[in-house]
Parts: sequence; structure tokens; C-alpha cells
Amino acid sequence: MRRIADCSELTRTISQVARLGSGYSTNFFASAAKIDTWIAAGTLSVLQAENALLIVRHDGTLVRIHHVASDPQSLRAALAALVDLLPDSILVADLVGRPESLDGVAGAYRKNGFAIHTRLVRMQRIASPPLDASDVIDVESAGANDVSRLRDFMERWLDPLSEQIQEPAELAEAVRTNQVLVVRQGNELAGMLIHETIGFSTTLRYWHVDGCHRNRGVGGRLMRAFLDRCASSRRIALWVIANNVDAIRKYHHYGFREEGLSDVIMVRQKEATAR
Amino acid sequence: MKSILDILSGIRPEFDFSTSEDYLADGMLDSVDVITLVSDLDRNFAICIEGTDILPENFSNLQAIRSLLSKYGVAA
Repeated sequence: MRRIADCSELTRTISQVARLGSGYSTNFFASAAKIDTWIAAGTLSVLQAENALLIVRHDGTLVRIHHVASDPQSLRAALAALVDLLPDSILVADLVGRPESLDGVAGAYRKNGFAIHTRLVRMQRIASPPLDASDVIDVESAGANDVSRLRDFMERWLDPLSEQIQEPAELAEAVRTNQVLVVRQGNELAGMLIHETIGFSTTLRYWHVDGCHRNRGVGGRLMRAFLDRCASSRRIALWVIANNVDAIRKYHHYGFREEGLSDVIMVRQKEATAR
Repeated sequence: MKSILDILSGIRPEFDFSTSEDYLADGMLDSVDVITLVSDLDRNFAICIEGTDILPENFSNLQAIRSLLSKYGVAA
């Protein structure tokens, strides 16, 4: 396994994995900006194998695995080599695609001790009319002083396996670019919403209300302020846990619809636990 | 056989792909869409785009995609 020093080196290495037909697959969809952040933090490495490349990112106590593989058999062999190298790590992989296209890839992970942790579905809101947010007065943009508070909030309320918690540097950038909305209750955050806009599209990354402040309309005010702010986006997309019927019902209420893409999160526990 | 614009519209019908010079910077295609696009181009034009060609700049606009396809003998 070797550490990656710059984004172009990674791109070049990825492009060398042969496409041999319909078995080719990848779950590496990070933007160049995100890759640069990870490289700067020294958390990105690769494991090159025959007809497969594993991109390995250390994320706190977890190791996140991305792959580019010519076929499931090559992926399976590469994963076996990785498991030998990191037997005592918790390995996490997000497999993204149409549900029917994920079976072969998921099988390669399963053969190496991974099991499905949860499944997310992508929803999108296209050209829906803006919602009236004129009565929303307590939603504000987060400031630089909120970064550590936001990070604490995310660590407290989010499942790190299902929802990749942003690094402080990524959070600081989101705050700086005015993409974080919060509702405060005294010195505490009652709720927060983080989005990312690129051109005509926006991704809703996180929308969460502190468990002590639920059923008081905090989430609704955050969402209406967000939709008002992003009224010029032609498409707003998000990922939600497939069996979170309450959240999906809320997203339907705000005009989001399922798009047909799945994200299967597979986890391999430490060797001692996996056996 | 579908045109490139038909294929792009099939992936993201909400956007007009004839007007943008940079689909990725304009948020009209994301990385997941690019993988779908590669597979749709493969199927539609009976080619197999090499891994070395799956670079953002080859899918950034209509002309870039046309140039890529021409490398595989496709005049689209």
C-alpha cells in the first residue's frame, strides 16, 4: 500500500485499471477538491492489484474503502490482500448504483467478511416551486466559531458508518462558503443543515435536529430556509437511509422523489469480531 | 441509435445539455452520472471506452464527448 501525494497521481493510477466490459465497477466518486483535502491530511493511500485498485482512506477509527476494478473476481482478490494488511481495522465501503447492478460487487465484499450495515436511497427535487420562508426568522448561517460545535453535534447524533462526518477543515470550508444553516437554542445548536451547491445542482448533505428539540418545527424551518436559499438550483439531491420512513415521508412532503439509485454500506468488523 | 444529446437527456432530463460548456462545473453531471454515461455510450455505440479515457475533461461538454467517440471510430 502506498500513500498518495497528489490528485493527478491518483487520477492516473485509476485510469490504468482496464475496462474489460460490463464487469467494470467503481465506487470512487470524490471531487478533486475533496481528494485534495484528504491528501493534505495524509489519509489517502492506494493498494494496486491485478486489474483492481483500492483507494484507502483513514477516517478516524474507520478505514473507508473505494475501488476501481475490471471485474468482481479482481476486486475480490484485491480486497483479500487488503484484509490481510489491515486485519484489525473496521473497513467500510459504500457501493453506489442501480440495485440490480450491485450484486456482483457486493458479493466480492461479502466473500471478504463484509456485511451490509444499511442501505441509502437517493432522492431528488426537480424544478419544484419554492416554499414560502418569509416567517422563518430563527435560521441563520453558521459562523467560523461554530465549526467545533457542528463537529460535536455531528459526532453526537449521526452514525459515522452511514453518514460520513465531515473533517473540521471540510466543515470550515462549508461554513466559509455559506452552506451551513443552524437554529440555536441559547449557546447550543438545536438543528443544522449542510448543503453543497455546484452550478445548477445542490446536494443536501446533512439535515438534523437535536433529539431534545424535536417536534418544535426546527427541522421544518431549516428545510424551508434551505429551499428558499436554493430556489435557483434546478436539482436538489440527497441520500437517505432506505428504511427511515419518517425522514422519507418528510422529504416527500417537501417535493423530493426517489431516483432509483442505492448506496449499500458494507462493513467489515475487526478480525476478532468478524470471526 | 440515440444521439449524444439524447443519451445525456436520458440521464438528466431536467437540464439542457446543448447550452453548457462544462457539464461538471455547471452541476449537470456528477461523478455517478459520468459512470452511467460511459456505460450508455458503450452500449449505444457498441464500443468499450478505456479506463484511461474516463477523465472529467472527456465528458465536460458535447464537443469533448464527440472527440472522445471519434477516437473509437464513432462519428456522432
